[in-house]
Amino acid sequence: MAKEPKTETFEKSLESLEELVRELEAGDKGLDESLALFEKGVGLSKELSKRLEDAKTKVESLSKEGGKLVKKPFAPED
Amino acid sequence: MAASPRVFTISELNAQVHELLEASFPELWVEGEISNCKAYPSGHTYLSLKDDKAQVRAVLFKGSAFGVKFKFQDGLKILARGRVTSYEARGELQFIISAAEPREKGALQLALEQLKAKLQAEGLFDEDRKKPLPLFPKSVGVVTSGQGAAVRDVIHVLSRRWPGINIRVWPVKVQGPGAADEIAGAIQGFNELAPDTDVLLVGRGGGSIEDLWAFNEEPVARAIAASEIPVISCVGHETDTTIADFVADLRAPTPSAAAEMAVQEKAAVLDRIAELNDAATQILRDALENLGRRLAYAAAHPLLSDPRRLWEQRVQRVDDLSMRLPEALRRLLETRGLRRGAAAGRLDAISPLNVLARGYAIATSKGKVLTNARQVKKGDPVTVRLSQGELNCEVS
Repeated sequence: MAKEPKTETFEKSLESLEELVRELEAGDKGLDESLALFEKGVGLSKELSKRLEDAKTKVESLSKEGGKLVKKPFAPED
Repeated sequence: MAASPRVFTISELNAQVHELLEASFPELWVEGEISNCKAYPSGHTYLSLKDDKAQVRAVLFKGSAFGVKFKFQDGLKILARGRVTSYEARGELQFIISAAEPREKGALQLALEQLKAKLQAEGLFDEDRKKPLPLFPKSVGVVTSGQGAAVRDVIHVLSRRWPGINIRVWPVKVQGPGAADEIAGAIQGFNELAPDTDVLLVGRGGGSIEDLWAFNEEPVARAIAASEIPVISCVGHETDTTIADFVADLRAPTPSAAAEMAVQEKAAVLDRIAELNDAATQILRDALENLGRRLAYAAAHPLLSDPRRLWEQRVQRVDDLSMRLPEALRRLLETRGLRRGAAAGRLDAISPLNVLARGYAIATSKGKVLTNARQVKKGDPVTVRLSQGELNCEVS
């Protein structure tokens, strides 16, 4: 089973945003290019924030029965 | 007549000695150093126990081995409980060990050191084996007891720091017989059945060294070492370091601390994103302001604000040139006039004295009249004859 790359992508997007701000800071880009970077940056930061909005924590209890994974909602046993 | 002595067979002799020995000695404790120790595939361990003068053969049968937490090895001083018997086939005195304690250290401590040395030699503690932890895990696996403070603390910390995280608890026995296998099984279970779990927290709350023992056992160490999913160990409170801690990719002192290490604070990440967004906005605003300033400066330049200046320059230049034109013309005409006069005065002009009297001069160098600058070079003496007197000069 291959790992879902989603956590990677969040990391990558955040890295891209940081890189983009560094590029803007360097100040060696033309206006058109700077504007394009800026637009991309705003898009990225919105997307990143949005991805963090899901605030429903899920707590599951895992166990193995007959070689298969069994998932149940977790409730502390005491 | 003396009765003829009884003749024993060797078997009879050994059997009698065996009986006598077994009957005469209750279970007892001996102290000695292990030597010639050999563990057989059968699970029995054969050894000698010795002091500085004598030795006795000894055996630890597989059935008693569970009562001995550490591994027998040569040179180790032990207190062994057992009974004295003999191995009839060889007529050898033998001490059968039923329990043993190391003489110098606790049994658990010794077992820990032995396993630690073994795993270390295999490279299981090496830094380059350690896997990096994911920066933004979406799901965190927890291998611990399903009851008690540890699991509640972990859930609390994880969901506080990163609301929306997926927490997967695999409840296990964390102490007592079978605990190590359950813990190892859960770690394997995550890797086999839920491999999309980003990081595992493996541990329990604090306790005595006996309580924490499962985390010092080989199956747990092997399962952690084999885990594809990065593992943070978190066993007990602060001071206890278990084998699991050495093998894990990261060691946390407590389960709550492990939860803190596993996930960042979402609020801080959101702040960081907002910060980057603000920085980008600020940079662009500055850049635009800067461009605006440059534009305003350029627009305010005298040439743009007062275009007359552009032709003022040209007007002046035209004026200037038109002033110089008549002058040039005048000079041209003068030159032509001189030529005409020269033709008339040619005879007169032949007399050098007359010429000298008009201010001309005759230059000579080394007795020769100079008519061409090439006749002399730098440093040559030149005599300049004037109408009245001479000048002694040098070519510079």
